[in-house]
Amino acid sequence: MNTKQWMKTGMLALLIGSWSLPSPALAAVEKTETLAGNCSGGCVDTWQVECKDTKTHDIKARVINNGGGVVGFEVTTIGYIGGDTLVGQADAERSLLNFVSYSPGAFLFQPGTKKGPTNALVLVNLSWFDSGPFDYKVEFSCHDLNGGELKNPTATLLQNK
Amino acid sequence: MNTKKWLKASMVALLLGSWSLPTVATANVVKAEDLDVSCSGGCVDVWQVDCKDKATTFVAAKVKDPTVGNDAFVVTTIGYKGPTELIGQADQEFSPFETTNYSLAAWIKRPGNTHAATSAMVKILSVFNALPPSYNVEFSCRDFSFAEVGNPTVTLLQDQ
Repeated sequence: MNTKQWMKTGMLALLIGSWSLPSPALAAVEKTETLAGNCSGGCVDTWQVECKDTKTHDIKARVINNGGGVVGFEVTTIGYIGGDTLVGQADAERSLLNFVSYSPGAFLFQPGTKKGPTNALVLVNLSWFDSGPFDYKVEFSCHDLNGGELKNPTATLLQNK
Repeated sequence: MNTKKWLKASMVALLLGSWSLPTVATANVVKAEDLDVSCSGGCVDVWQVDCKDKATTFVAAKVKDPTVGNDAFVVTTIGYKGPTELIGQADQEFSPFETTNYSLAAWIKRPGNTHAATSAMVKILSVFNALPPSYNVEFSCRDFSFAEVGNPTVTLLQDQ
């Protein structure tokens, strides 16, 4: 096998190899932020989460204390566009008063077995009024009808308090 | 004055009187609802509030526990349509614990001193999930100086 032949074979093997390699694992999008303590009634951060995959059936968000003190956080997913069954649909979850475990996931579901690009607003605030600032991490992910994770969402911080 | 003339005069007086009466004061819209206690993380009610008055700058909401129970409620106003400055705007207030007093008003505000028909979603959540989780919520539309304008239309989008 001459060099040219070897290169051709090598390239072919490389291509076949790359096809058979497992695709990179899809990870949730994680963001770190701080809630200030100067709002009457407690500060609220608002995230816009966009799952653009056409197979999206639900959006999930969960929150964890990022080490700023003994406080619990609340995360709420809320539908705001995309039809009557999505607009006003809300789910809330609370994290523990530590920075060990995430809250359960708060979800926004497409109705029935429907799927398509889906958007949500996600609110993050303290579970009970307390003076901050307190750090949190929030994780967003897009899922198909079987709960399998899809392409990462786009997450934009619309209100930072 | 005969009876007929007296009746005529009385009617005229009544009409004039009603014209000069002060108009009925614009009132807030108050709704009473319950929250279930069976949801992980707390059940959530969501209201859609439409302020159709063109003078609207703020959409406001406050909440209270109508019985001196051992619960408190959180009211959150959320901007979700209209100009970019409104989408994602959120404000929350807690009702005072063990009283029947209203919370402070949570509100969304149009940018600058602009005014127009404005909509918001309002989220209600119980803090402690104590029974009975009944609440009263009061909605209002306000102009730039926070004076009340025409009443909003209110729809319960999610009832948990």
